[in-house]
Amino acid sequence: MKIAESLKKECILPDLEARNKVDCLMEFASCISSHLPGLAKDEVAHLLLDREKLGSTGIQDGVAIPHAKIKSLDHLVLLFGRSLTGIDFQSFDNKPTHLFFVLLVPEETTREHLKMLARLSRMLKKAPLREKLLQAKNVKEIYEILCEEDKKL
Amino acid sequence: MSKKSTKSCVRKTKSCNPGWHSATVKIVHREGFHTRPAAQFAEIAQRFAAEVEVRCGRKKGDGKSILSLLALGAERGDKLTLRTRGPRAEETLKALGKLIQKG
Repeated sequence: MKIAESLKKECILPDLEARNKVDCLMEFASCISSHLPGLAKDEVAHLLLDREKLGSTGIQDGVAIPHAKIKSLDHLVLLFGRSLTGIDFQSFDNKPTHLFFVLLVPEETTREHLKMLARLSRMLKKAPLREKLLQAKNVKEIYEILCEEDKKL
Repeated sequence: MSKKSTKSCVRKTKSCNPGWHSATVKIVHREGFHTRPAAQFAEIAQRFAAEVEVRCGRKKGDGKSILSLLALGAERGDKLTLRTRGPRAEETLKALGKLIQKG
């Protein structure tokens, strides 16, 4: 599954206002609930936070991939957010997190979830790509960078 | 224990590079090698000074990098080949193999 199939431009937040983990996840929940009215903001935020309690999804090199399974979803949804100041996401390398890919998946779709995680990780392990995403001027540029990179995978 | 086969390349196998220890383990976790197991794996690997390489089919990853491990996209039933080299390589291999088998 291509990243572009799951990520809409409206779900790209180029300058997150949040300064901490809870507010950050609330910001994503708020964004998705306004674009997919079937999803309640509080439910999404709650599920994302519950997942964080099992262990941070703040991975390394300024990247986090928060994710949750949502009963009412029938397809995988991807959101992207960028914090220019960085957020303490209790990352494994203790570095602030700047780039967020939020993955919302229907229940019982382990395979798709895993494939998308793999796809994102293949992309995000490249330092020049991370730098490009940090330098991008707006939503359009971020979207184009991601789509272009996605084609190479 | 039947799912795991460990061999020391130092001791015998000609086909292995000298100094490498390797083991093949099957992913038993229902959800595959996803974020949590990958993070635990990298965390343990980082505690050791030995080099850690993980292969899944034709893909190869750095065992100390969560992103690199997630990029393997390993599913339940897939076999991972773990390779370690350097200080306490065998001990490193055992600790990591045990983690995967635990699911």
